[in-house]
Amino acid sequence: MKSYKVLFVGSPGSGKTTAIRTISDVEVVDTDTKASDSTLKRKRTTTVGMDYGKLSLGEGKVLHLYGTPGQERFKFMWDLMVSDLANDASALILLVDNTRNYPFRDIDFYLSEFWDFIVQRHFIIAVTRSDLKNEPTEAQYQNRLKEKGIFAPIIFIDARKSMDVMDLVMSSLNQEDDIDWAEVSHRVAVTELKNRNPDPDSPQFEWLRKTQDVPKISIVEAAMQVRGISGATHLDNTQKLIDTSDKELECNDLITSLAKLAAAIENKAPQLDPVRNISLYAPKKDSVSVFLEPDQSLGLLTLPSLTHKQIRQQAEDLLQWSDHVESTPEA
Amino acid sequence: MSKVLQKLEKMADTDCSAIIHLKRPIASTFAKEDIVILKLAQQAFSHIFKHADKADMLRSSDDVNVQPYDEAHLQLGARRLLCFRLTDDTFYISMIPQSNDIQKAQKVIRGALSILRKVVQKTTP
Repeated sequence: MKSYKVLFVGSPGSGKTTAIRTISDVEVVDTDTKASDSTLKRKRTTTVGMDYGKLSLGEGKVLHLYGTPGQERFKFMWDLMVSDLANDASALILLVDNTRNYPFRDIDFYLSEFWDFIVQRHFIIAVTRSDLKNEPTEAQYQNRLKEKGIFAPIIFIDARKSMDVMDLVMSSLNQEDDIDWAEVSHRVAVTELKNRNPDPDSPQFEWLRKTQDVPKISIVEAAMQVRGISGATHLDNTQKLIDTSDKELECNDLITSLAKLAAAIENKAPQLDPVRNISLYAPKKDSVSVFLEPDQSLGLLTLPSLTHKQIRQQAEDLLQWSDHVESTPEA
Repeated sequence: MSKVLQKLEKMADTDCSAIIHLKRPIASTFAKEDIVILKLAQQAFSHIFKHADKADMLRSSDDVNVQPYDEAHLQLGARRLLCFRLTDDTFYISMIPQSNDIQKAQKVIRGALSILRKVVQKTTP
């Protein structure tokens, strides 16, 4: 039996689990659990281990589909998957959520994290959720990759549609000319049709219900649900308050002052890289961190037990999902 | 003093460091081309601690035992500057790539603060 493997990576909520579920012949082995971090802004559950699915390619050939967890705090799983489980994968598919505020930054991040793995394999970028936000466009993604000297197919997909995900798979294994893709696609499409159940309360849609109807909350509300965060303040590009967990929050003025200071530093030394973060620490005292983007800032008051890395990961995802920014894919 | 800085850099996995006393470096391993960053960092950290102290004063007018912030970070692109307040007028500033283990650097430097303070005490009037 000949087997192939494909690895799906991407930010939380980019559609990795959905894509695998859409074409897998078997019930997907997922490790979804109730979200307890900034992911709450987008969905109720999140992958904490890995996703696994399988697709028969006919004549004894099989494709194993692996998905990593999105959050950087599960980097140990990424390392495990690239060094062991999916080490012999033919391709890496990077799912990019087009509704994130800075999708190009996601590409840069995953390129740097998986570079050694990517250089030896097929690399495909799959852009999801473009039905909700149509920018960046395909041409903008292509230009960005060109600037970085990277040549990779960019495919806009709906991870819920089996034929879209099949496009990715076919692109990943395009050098394999002994696979009857027409037969595989037909079978996948027929299975999708057969499984279609008009009853929205049927068990088939349980996974969908988990991700649907997520209450629309601000990034400040989402931040306050993260363990270890005791205060949050969201500022606009002129350091004016958009939202805060508590108007009387004692560190609000400090957060605003630090964001203004960052802007002053950038004015004073435009030749240097922009200020991305200012943090203050002391033993046994809540830390204050301000994360800065060109169009918004987020200040967080956190327990001293939270590490800088933990705070940064939460802040970066929250800023990616904020509703209060202009479309700035270049950032 | 530079030897102490280099030893600490090795342990904390930082690129370079400096001790700033009364706004001037009394020891530094920053390369010539990075001096501009050190100068900017020194000014920025002075302001950051000033803002922090002001916030502490407003917050804790009743509490005389409030602990001031003694560590500040400034991330410029992919570089991170870590500053530890040794005395009101003296900072230890180090630079580390953002991709390095920041937590380890924080722990190592914090563990060496008493030695740094002693060194500074001996060399400054």
